[in-house]
Amino acid sequence: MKRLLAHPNKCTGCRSCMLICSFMHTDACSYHGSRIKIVSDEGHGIHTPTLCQFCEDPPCVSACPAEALSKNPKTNSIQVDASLCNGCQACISACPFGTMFFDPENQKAFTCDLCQGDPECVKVCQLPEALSYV
Amino acid sequence: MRFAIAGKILHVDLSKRKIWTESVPEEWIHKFIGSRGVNAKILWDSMGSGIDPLGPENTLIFGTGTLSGTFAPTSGRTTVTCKSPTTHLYLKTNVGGHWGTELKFAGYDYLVVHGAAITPVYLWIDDGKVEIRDARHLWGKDVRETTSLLHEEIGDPATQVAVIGQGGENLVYFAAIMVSVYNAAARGGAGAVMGSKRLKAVAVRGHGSVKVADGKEFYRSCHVAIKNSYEDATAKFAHLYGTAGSVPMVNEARAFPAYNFRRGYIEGAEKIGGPYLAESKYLKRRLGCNACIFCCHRYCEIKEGKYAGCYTGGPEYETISALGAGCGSIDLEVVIKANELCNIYGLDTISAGNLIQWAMEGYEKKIFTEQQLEGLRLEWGNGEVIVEMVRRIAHRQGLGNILADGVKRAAEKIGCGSEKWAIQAKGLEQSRVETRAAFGYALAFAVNPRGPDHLHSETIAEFGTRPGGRRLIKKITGDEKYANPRLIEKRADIVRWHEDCFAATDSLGLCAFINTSRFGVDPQQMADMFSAAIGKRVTEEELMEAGRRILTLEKCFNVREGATRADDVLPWRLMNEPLESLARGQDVMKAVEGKTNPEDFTPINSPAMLNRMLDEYYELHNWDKQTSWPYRETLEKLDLKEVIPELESKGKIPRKK
Amino acid sequence: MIHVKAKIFSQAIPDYSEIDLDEGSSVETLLVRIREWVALGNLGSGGHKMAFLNNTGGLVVLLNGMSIYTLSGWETPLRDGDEVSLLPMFAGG
Repeated sequence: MKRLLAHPNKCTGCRSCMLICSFMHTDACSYHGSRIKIVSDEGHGIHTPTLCQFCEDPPCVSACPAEALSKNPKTNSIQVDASLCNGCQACISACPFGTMFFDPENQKAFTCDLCQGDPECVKVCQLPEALSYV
Repeated sequence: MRFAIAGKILHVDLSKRKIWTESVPEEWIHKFIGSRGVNAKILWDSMGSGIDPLGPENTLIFGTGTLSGTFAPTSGRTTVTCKSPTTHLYLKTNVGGHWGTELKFAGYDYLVVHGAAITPVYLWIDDGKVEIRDARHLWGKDVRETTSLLHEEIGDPATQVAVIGQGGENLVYFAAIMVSVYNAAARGGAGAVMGSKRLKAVAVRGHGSVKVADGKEFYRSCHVAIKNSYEDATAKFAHLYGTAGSVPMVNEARAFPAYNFRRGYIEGAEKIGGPYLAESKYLKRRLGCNACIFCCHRYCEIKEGKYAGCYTGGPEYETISALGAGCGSIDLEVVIKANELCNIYGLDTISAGNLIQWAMEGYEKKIFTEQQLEGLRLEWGNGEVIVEMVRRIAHRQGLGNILADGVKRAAEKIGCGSEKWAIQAKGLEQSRVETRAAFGYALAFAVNPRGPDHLHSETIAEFGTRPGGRRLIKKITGDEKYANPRLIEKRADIVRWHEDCFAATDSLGLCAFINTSRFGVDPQQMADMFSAAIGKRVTEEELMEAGRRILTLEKCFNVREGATRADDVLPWRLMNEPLESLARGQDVMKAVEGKTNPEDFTPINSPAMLNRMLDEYYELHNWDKQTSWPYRETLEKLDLKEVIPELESKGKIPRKK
Repeated sequence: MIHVKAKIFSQAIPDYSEIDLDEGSSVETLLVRIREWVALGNLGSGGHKMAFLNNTGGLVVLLNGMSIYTLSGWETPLRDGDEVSLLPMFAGG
């Protein structure tokens, strides 16, 4: 099973990943719609990609009272059934990495779905190689 | 919400404490594209001729690219435009980092600052909400500290900040506006303009988004550009070694300005070059501007020795030549430390280095008094004095106060023949390209509206070192043989194509390094991305024509200010002294004076040679050769009729004979 | 005989080599001679340097500071005292 790995010391803070990720999953480019978030300390040149860690025993899945979350058997990512999600944000609180996100407009939780096995973020990180899908 | 752009101009008048917005006219996107182009239009409209650049009548404009806020590769660049205090002419300066995209996500494509505050203020743009806030507690603090304090005060470390340091506060004529801490809108003194308005910073937080018209086509066209960018031979080296990677090659080409442009070569230059830096203990990180896929920026730290505790973005190629080789030094730690001080005080490294070199040459020639020197030993290669001079310039201390006015004024003040080694034209210090060894660059530098530098048309292709470059020269001129920097032929054609492309690139928000420095992405691909973003078909010709229109408008601003052909020159040294390292033997001066064959290469930008290129260039543009001013028919053809009445009233529309 | 200097930038700090060639030798001949010289174990561990010297498409070759493509390419004849620099392709400003 492939995993999407981040190598923080190679992250340049360019945010290309955030801009393409949001575009692929929402109707616009933004930071808030991205499933990967870059956390930056610009003064010290430190940029850290944060995204779902695809836990073996995901706390978010356990926390969901509506059974809206499950593991995608093909990609091992967390899938959110939007028809079941009631926007309670229990999964967001449960995630120890802070990488389950909330869309306030539609009142739904979302996280990385690995673009169904062909992650777009990796495609725009080919020189820094801070993201790899292995 | 409109496609690609937020559609709003934010106006702030600091004298009247008024804030208002204006819609971006639809027509401007086709005529002027965005960023640099629209900035130029706003600047033209906002003032008459002859205003004081450091007075309240100057307009300071921040413009985001049409493609900023999207994943179009390298689309995160921003242009800052105003009238320059050092040249009293048009100034646009371009910057990376992440501030521009944040402004767009906050709902504004442009920020236009009018007037001047009485006491220091900062702007806080929090999505739609805009406030003018007291900045007296921030005045006197450097760029890095100010950014930190604002993050704390606002309570959000993701806030993007555009800020001036002591350089801008003290009205240093080459003060920079810094964004995302280490990214500089460096050239021409925009930082001093911001300082004259007592505007310490513009802090922005934007939670919005950017939509494109045709998502599928946008994705396709961007990926063509991404793929072609990755496939360019130099993409990987750009990421690995940065612009600093150019140092060894330019030095080997004997075109690496050293010792204040006395030489084009310095022994050991590789020790301040990109590959050496990459293997050294100093390079800690490679960084990238918003939406970039090359990520060519550096971040360095010095942990031991004299400069222990130093940490900074950079150094770039220009900085390395300006604060290293140009000063006769190949000390990498000195370059990094001096770069840090320029960054945190907010100074242009190119000009800062230029001034220090001018002073070193003056010291060698004993033109300064003991009183002026205050014990400074301005010897070539003295690293400590390089670092110290940056401090003194930023704080206008002692000799630093004279240098802070730029090299043209410093030479006028000190005299003693020092005008001859003031490497400036139009009042702007030349950037680190040896134009006596590259004639396309020479022409480009002479005609650049802001002064002699490479960020108007980067004609790397003329060196003939890369297959993509040779193909481009063939496309422009019809023959690869013109990929030769020592030819005068076809330089005008080459510069014209490059300046059109550069203007379009800047205005879309794309980085100049995506094309002309690399050869994977061409104007057709840019037009495709542009078309898909805005939902209207723009052809390559229309895009290049918009580029032409933009730089013609910039030219018109200068014409209105009184510029003529006499201003399209190069620094005295480059026009009168041959480049030593390319000159062989005693006969060079003789060859220059009594030239038998005008086609023979001599490493000098002589008036005869420059005039020949200027004649061709003005002819191609359909500008009057005597004055350099555009003809009426040229302005009409370019749909720039709006500038004619004012220029005509000043007698600046030339009659065609 | 002509005496020619070569500066080889296969790594950050360049290697220097001085070579004697027949009168009228081309830049290509010089490159062949440098490769032979490196293959013999000069300049230390040759693998990386040989790869660099063999990647002719990725080389910038300057003769007295001028790109050989603006002269006669690899066939450009050398003269006594000429300096040839071999660099990987870079860009920037």
